[in-house]
Formats: sequence, C-alpha cells, structure tokens
Amino acid sequence: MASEKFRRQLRQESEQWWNEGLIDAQLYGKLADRYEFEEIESQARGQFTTILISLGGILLGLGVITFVAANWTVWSREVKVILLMMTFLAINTIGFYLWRSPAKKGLQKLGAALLLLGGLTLGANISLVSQMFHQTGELYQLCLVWGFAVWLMALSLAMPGLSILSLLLVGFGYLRGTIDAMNVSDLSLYQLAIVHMPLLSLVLFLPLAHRSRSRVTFALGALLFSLSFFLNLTAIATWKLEVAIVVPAALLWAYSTQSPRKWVEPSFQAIARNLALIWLAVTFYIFSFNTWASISTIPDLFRFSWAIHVMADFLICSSLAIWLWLKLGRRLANFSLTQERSLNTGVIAIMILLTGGSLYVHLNLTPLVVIGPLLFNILFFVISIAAIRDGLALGSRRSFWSGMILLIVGIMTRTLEYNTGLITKAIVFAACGVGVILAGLWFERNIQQTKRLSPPQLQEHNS
Amino acid sequence: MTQPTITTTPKTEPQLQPQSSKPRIPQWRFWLPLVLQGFLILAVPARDAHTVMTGTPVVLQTAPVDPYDFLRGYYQTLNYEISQREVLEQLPGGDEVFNSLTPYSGNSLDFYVILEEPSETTDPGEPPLPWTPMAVSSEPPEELPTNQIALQGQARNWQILYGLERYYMPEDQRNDINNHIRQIQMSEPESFVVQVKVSDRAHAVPIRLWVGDENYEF
Repeated sequence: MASEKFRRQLRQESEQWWNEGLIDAQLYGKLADRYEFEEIESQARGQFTTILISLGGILLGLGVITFVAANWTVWSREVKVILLMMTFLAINTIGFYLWRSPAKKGLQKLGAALLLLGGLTLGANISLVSQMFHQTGELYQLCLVWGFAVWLMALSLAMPGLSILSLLLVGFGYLRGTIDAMNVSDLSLYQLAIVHMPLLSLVLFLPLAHRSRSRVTFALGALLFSLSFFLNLTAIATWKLEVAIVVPAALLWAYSTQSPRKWVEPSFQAIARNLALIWLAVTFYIFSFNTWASISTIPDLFRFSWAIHVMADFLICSSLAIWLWLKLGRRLANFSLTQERSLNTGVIAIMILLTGGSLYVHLNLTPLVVIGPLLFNILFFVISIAAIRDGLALGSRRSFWSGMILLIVGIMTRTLEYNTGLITKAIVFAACGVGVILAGLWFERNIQQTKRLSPPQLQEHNS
Repeated sequence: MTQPTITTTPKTEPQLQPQSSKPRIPQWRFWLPLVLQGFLILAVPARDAHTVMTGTPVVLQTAPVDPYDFLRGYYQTLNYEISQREVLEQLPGGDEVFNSLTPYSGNSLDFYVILEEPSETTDPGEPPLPWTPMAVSSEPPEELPTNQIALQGQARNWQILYGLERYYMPEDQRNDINNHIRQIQMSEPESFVVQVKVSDRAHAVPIRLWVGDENYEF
C-alpha cells in the first residue's frame, strides 16, 4: 500500500481531475477503492491511538519494572520465578496474537514489537534465574543460550527482527567466548558450540535467513561464518592459515550457484559475492604491507584435544567449497578475459589460488619476503581497478566508488608506508584528489547514459 | 507527424483490490517454540535447584579478596581458603594433581577437594565453624565417611574456581555489607564464612554469608 501522504495527495488531485472532467466518476471510484480514500482519516485516527497506546504501554511497563525492582528482594524465589515466567508468557502471547491478527497494520507492528520485547525478556529471565542461584556463569554462555532460544522462535515465526536478534546474540557470544575457549582442555557444551561455530552458523542461520527472507540475517550470518572459520583456525588452533583465509571467500563466492531452486534467493547471492569481494580486498590490503613477510611465523600449534572438532569443521567446509566450485567450474568452460564483468568467477578463482598458493609457499616452503607483498599489492590494485571498470561498464555507482576508495586507500598507504619525501607525498595526495574529483564528475555525468545504453543482460551476473 | 504508438497494455487485468494478507500462521508455530524457551529458562538453574533442595550444608572459610577487585556489578566476589593453590598443594594428593598442570599446557583441569565436618558445633547465632580440607584427587572419590564430602573444582591457568565465586545481593544493602566484610576481614578474618550446599555429585551452590555474628541470605 502506498504511503499515507501519497494517498492524501492522490485524493486531492483526483478530486480535482474529476472536477475538471479529466476522469470520470467511475475511474475516480476505482482509484478511491484501490487507494482506500475512505480509510485515510480513520487510519490517521488509528495511528494516533497506536501512539497513545504505546506511550501508555511504556509508562505501564516502567511502572511494573519499578514495582518489581522495589520488591525484588522481599519476594521469595518461587514468587520471583512465577512472576518472571508470567511476564514472559504474557508479553509473547499478546504480541503473537496482535501480530497474527488480520486487523490494522499498526496493531500488527505493535505485535511484532512485543514479540521482539519477548525475545529480550527471555534474556532477562535466563540471567535473573541464574542469579537467584548465584551462578558464576560467563556472559558469553548467557548470550549463546539466549541466542539459541530466540532462534527457535525466529525460525518458527519466520520473523526478520527476531532472526537478527538471535544472530547478534550468538555472534557476540562467539566473539566473547573464543577467549575463554582458548584456555581450556576439556570442552564444555558452550565451548563445543564455539569450536563448531562455522558449521553451526551454516546450519542455524542459513535456513533462518531463507525462511524469514531477511537480507540482514543472511549478511550477518555469512559474516559470522567467515569470522568463526578464520578465528577458529588461526586463534584457537593456529593451523593452516592459508585455508582459513581462502575458504570463506571461496564458499561465499560459489554460494547458491547450483543449489536447489527453492534455496536460491537472487539477492542473497549478490550479498554473498559482495562479501567475498570485501573479504578478499581486506586480505589483500593487510598482506600488501611490507612487514608481515619478514615476521617469523609461529610453528603450527595444533591443540591436540581439539583436533577432531576443528578438523571436522575444516573438512566439511572445505569440501563444501570444493564441491560448489566443481559445479561452478563447468561454467568456466566459456570463460574469457574479455567479459563484460571483470570481477567474474575466473578472475576470482585466480585470485583465490594465488592467495592460497603464495601463503602456503610462504608458511611451509620458503618465506616470500619480497614477492609476497608485491603479489598482494598487485592483487589489491587489480581488484580495485576491476571494481572501477565494472562500475563503468555496468553503470553501477556502488561498484565504481568502492573501487575508487580502494584505489585511493592503496595509493595513500603505500606512499605513507615507504619512506618517500614530502614532495612526493604532496604530489601523490594532490594527484589522488584531482583524480577522484575528475573521475567522479565524469562518471556521474556518464552513468545515466551508460545505464540507458547498456542492454539488460549486462546488469546480470555472468560467470 | 506520426502519432506515437502506445503499446503498454498490461498483460494481466489490473488488480483493483489489494492482495489479501498472507495466510495466517498456525498457532503451534508460536506455542511450540515458546514452550521450548520456557523449558530452557527452567533448565538453566535445574541442577542448582536440585542441589539446594537435596544437598548437604557445608561451611567454607573465605580468604581475603583483593580490595580493588571487591565488587563487580551486583555481586560480591568471594575467595576461599581452598581457592589458594598453595593450600591445596600441601594436602595429600595435591602435588600430584597440580603438577600435571603446567603453564605451557595452559588449559584447565577438574579436581575434587575432600572436606571434613568440624567435630564441634557453635551456638545458633554465632558463625558456624568451617569444614577442613583433607585431600585432593583428580577422580571423584568412591567411598567417603559420613562426615566427609567431595567438592568439585576447576583449575584454570592460575585460578581455582568452584562456581561459588559470586554472591549477588540487592543494591541498597551492597555498600553496608561490603563495609562490614572489610572490617571483619581486617579484625578477625576467620569469622567471614560462606554456607554452601553440596550435592552428592560434588556440585555446590552458595546459600548464605556469615560476617561475624550477622548472616545474609539472598
């Protein structure tokens, strides 16, 4: 339904058209039906009522919270537990039935907000119940349990808001928990969840993102997967750094290309590929510094007690990536360097292979003190120029400007890193500035034209 | 002049009615996860509740706490005599258990402290006498005399934890209790003891603080 403002304007305009004889009464009637002119006023009243109800609700909630806080220490454990459970049940039930009701949009939104509040109350419940018994639990354990509990509801109701809440909780719990998990030899249930986070994030959040059709959930879930895969291999196990860097990018790039139809959400594939590009760009940027190659690496510190767990995730995710790429590989037959899109699967494959290969050689065979940083500098500039080129060819503003920013950051960093004279620095800065202004102006003037001229198939992803 | 030809006839009939809202979600989709969430809330303290109901009351002697680490948030940080590694290492079995924990293996290990009930009892209203640590073992002890009990602990890096390190207390009484504890720890540290309940599986829950003649239970 169009916005209320538009409908008001349309009502005004169409009344005028009718009066002027541009449209007849029948057409006006149709417009009035379609845009529900009759209900504009009552909806405005409804919105006002909603605001009043929510204000009252907030005050009521504050009153209840203060009352509970004042009497909290007086009540016995049983009373507290019953009270907490009642609140939790009430908020969720009212929320669900309002959200599900076929009534007004405003009430549905209120219901969704209450369900989200119910998700937050759940956390308060868990932590208060645990405090009643003076448990010495860690914050990350609370976050993991809470996130999982919210996940149950989010999956069942397919609600984007709850999905994001659950993902944020599990993600926060994971990041807090890695430090804890690094210090133990026997794994508790929570630490097992942390060690298996790459798989868990795939199993829990991929279906959730698809069910709730939430792009934010998908993006955050993909980020959690990549980070946990990387951190588990590097920080916890200190093992196979090259795989830890390469697999997330490879998996994200190949995501959903050949998956069963019902799982494919076109927008998700675009998000996954953009994340893969960002992951690669960040990697190239970090490794383009000169110093990393001369730092002597620590020998593999594989914690033996963890071997099976980290290994399982490592093997499953790597084979998943390889399998997806094998399927993708069939499309590579018609690969040529002169495609419309320069950041295509072939180029990404070469980048991933070069990254993995050079890091493997550096870590296991011979240190690449000079070639390593040089290679990553080249890769970094290739990825930024390719993004600019794609932006121009496809008329994509975002791609153009991301490439531009990468290029400038790359040039600036190199100028500052190597001990160049002040004059050189001044010239480089000035040249960058002029370059950005000129390129930007030129691009913005031409983008409309390009968009008009480009055939529609150019806009699509081509492999 | 030619008239521009307009070929924008829509392929389908225009929709005059807005599409009816999505089919209603069946109720079980809400109630099933809600019940599971409820179980989860109850499962968090289930073991502790069982311990409080069926466990054996035990009294533990506290040790001075670093005054700067006294209070974090809403709870009192507690430190026990048996949280000190030197104390445990001097007990039978202590050396054996703690020698396997080197700083290089980093890591953690579980162990059991065997505590013995004091032979004397105090008058009600006076702080009870703490139980004495007798031995340390890395396995749960099989047969114990009735006046002894095992308590599970975890050595992690340089810390020794029993899950009894926090005592939550109401905000309005926090400062008073803290001052009281500080005074007692300076004048007669042995009269600050903690009553806990220990289950037959060596799990413990704090119940009550005894600071001098006063006791606090929350």
